[in-house]
Amino acid sequence: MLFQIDSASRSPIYRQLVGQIREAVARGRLAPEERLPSVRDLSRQLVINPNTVARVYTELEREGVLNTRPGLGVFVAQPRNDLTKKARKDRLTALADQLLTEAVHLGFSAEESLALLSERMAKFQFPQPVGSE
Amino acid sequence: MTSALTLKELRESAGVAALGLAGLGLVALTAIGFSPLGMVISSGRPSGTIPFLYDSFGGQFALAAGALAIALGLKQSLGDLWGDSQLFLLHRPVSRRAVYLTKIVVGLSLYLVLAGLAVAIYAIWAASSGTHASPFAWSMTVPVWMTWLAVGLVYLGALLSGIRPAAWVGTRLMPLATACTLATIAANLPPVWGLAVALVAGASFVALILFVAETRDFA
Amino acid sequence: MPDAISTSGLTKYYGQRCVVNSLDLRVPTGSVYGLLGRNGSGKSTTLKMLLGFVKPDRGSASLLGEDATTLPAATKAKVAYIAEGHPFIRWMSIDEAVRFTRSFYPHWNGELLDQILDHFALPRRAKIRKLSNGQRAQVSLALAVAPDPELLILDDPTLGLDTVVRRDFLESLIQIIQREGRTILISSHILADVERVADRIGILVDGVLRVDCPTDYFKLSLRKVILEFAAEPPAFPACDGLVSTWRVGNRLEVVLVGYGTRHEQLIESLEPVSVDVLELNLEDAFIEYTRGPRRSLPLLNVEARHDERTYA
Repeated sequence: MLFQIDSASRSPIYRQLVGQIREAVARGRLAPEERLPSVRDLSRQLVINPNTVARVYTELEREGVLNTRPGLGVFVAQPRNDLTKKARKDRLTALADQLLTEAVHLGFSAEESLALLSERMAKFQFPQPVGSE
Repeated sequence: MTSALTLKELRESAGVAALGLAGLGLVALTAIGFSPLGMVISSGRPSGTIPFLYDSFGGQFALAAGALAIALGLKQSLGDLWGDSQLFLLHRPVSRRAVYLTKIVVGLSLYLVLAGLAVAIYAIWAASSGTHASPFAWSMTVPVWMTWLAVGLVYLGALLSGIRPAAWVGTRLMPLATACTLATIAANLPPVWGLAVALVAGASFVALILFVAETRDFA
Repeated sequence: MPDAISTSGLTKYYGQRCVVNSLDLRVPTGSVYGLLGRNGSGKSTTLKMLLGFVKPDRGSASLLGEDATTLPAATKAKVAYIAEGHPFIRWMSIDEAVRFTRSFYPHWNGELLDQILDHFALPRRAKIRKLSNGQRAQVSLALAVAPDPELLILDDPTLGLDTVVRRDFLESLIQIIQREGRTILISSHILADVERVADRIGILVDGVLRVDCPTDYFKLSLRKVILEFAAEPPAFPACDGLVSTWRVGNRLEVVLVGYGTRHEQLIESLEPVSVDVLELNLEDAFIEYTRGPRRSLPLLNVEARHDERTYA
């Protein structure tokens, strides 16, 4: 089972699940076109209210991470690029700055930070480089 | 559903009924002279007594029947209350009135049949020729039959006492005490009056039981 | 669609003590509502009033559109109730209990009942008083759902059950939730369980419904703020949403509900040396809300999910 609910967490259940599915997709554990368990099955597996699962699927569909095919089920969507290149770059830059600020305060050197980043990157499934926009 | 309720009540009262039957049987048999205890203590009928007219059967019967009536009434009322099954039983889609009416019908019938049996055995024995040397007429059994009927009130009083919510034991037992008093009065009045009192009192008790059942809280 | 359950000013006194205080509760049809509260907060009494076992002193309640004090038998047939401790007629065997219960209902889903009993390998001839608590809970649930009820009211159904049995019970409950249009009201101490199954939660504190909102909203809207000062901390000014304050040395701990910009401004105005804003998990959030001085607790009543605001 890919997903787990942490009842001691400060994050609401639906948020935990949204985060976990997103991460699973980003890490390649869920491949594009792969079918996710039905609302019914997942709610039984995780022992949570099916409404919560439905809500998670709906939100992820809105974000473009999943899509529903009527009668067939819920599938992982092909990666899409809705935002302009600049918008996406700005967003990532902001997050990168946060990370680096933390690294400096924690006392990591530039080399150490880079090494750590490379180590983590290896665990993720990056899409092919985007063509010029 | 009524049969399910009836069977439940019968099954739950079976133990009490059996004990009552034993007690009443003992009283009847002692009066007849076949007391198993009597084999050891004394045998044969007490001398100088006349069945139904001048003997101790009436008193002993009243006690035994009274005990049965009280036990039945309390078992049917307190049994569910103390056994915590009220919240299961009363949530079924059936009115509280129906539940308690069934209890009353079963309980009263059980009492009347068992107690009546004891009187009938003694009476039939007394009526058969050659069993004893005293006169007998069926009209002599009337006082005992009156007692039989009147003690039925005690059953109703016990049932009401059981379900009546009251903080102090004293007030809780009031219906039972009242029933005993009324029963004594009814048994000692001339038969027609006694019957009237018993029926009116009985109907009142039944109405009260149903009223309490419908209006009280079951927490 | 009308609410499955709705109460208006429902009040009950035991002697001088007000056990349920002017309760306005609404459980929408098709939802799962978790009623939380400490022992003695009035949960059981509220449920008993909903089912007509206890008469309220003031106010009214309605179940599936009918007045709770005079529920007709036909309505009772659509409402399943499991009281605290899973009461039964103890001398009966499981089979006898099934036959007894079945005789009262026009609809009876024998298949579903068998499924549950078989799944937990419950021996039909066993006397109910000989069963363990967990087994009784399962029989209780099976008998409750066999009549295909529209509304289930469960009073602390997992009380006293061990971890594994609780999980079993929850799984059965999830299966039951799947059905459309079925409403469930479950009262419990076990917050983690409630969080899993409930769409909305309510928290009763001394008979008053202090919280009534979507489940995740409660966690999201509570914050514990820890303020450090150079010297003796000032008293935290009274404001909307103040749940509790606690002063320890130079530290002031404040729990706030509906945390927002006005709280931030208030905090800034006190000029603390440092500010830590913590989120709380459900158990801590519940404790903070139900532990403190009772009288001045703020009310948190939120209708629907779209009322959600973002928090700092």
